[in-house]
Amino acid sequence: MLDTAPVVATTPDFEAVFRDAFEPMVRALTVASGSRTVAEDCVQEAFSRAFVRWRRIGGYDDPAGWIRHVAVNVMRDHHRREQRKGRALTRLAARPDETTAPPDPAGAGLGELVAALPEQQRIAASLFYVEQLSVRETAQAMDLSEGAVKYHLHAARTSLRRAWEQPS
Amino acid sequence: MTDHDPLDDLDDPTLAAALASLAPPSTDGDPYPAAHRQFLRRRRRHRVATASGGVVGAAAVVLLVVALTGGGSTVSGVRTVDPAGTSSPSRTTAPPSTSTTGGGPTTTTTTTAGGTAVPATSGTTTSTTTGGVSPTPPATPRDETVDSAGGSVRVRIAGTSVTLLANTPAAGFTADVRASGPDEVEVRFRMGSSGSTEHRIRLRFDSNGALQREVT
Repeated sequence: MLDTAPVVATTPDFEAVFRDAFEPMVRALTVASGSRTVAEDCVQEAFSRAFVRWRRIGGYDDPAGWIRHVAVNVMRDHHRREQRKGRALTRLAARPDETTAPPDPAGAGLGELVAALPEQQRIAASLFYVEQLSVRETAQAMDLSEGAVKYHLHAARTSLRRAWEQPS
Repeated sequence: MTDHDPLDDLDDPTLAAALASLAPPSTDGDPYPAAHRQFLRRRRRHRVATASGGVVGAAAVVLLVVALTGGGSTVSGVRTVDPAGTSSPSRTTAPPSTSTTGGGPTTTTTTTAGGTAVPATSGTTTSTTTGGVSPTPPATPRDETVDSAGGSVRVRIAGTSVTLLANTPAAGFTADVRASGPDEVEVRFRMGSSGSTEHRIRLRFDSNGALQREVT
């Protein structure tokens, strides 16, 4: 069905959500993905999908939560594609897979340490610590239970703290 | 004493500040105007895709309905129906032809391109025309009585067919029907059991389509 709602009537609400949520989402996904460009693309894609269905999405209790959830999924898809591409290139080049080698904690920057975390821990830590979401909001964005989010956050924090505080 | 769940101990302002420093706030200004233009383009594409999908879906439904109902078929042919209704009708695509059936009574209908069935002449011989050729309208039948010394016959003449309707022998004569139509009608009237006296009435069409009456 066509979304025939006039732009004038929907734009103010949508624009308010965009102005409130766009930058925090981009910052969180920048930490999770390691690239601000990728994060902006993912969040922009999520907002685009929300825009064409805004008459329905705008009626949700938490439209920003829906958009964040979509953005996280888009980022995951992007990473899967990149990983497949990296593995294919590795096979073609017949060389060891360097992309999956964890960085040496000693002397590594925090960004590299975050990049070395498993994906779920990386996304959970980014949403919780960077975007300052609650455990419940983080769970909704990741489509996980709150207990699972707490587990990933605890594991991420422990790993980062240990490596970060390790004397070089 | 309360149990302390280490999973609940998540607050870490120092770590939060360090992680946030990895993604400093953007200084590029208001991102909304540029984003909004992309949103509008995206919605336009979405509408076009949705409308196209609807049109394709409607066309598919129409084609499916036409295919299921068989409407609009250009196939025309002859359907022969058993009077008892026990045989299933068969449709053929034979070219225009004249069909002749012998023996038992058969009803032949001509199916036109429009799908209407036109019953043809009942009897043993029917002529059907299919395709784009219009069927020849049947000639108006007329009845005729032919007399002889041995009796009379009443026939029906329609086009180039002649059919025996009745025969009436004269007193002392018996009738012997040799042919009752439609190509020819021949009735012989005989006197007595030996049949020494015989009168014959014969009607048939010659090669020019003229009805020949022979009374002997």
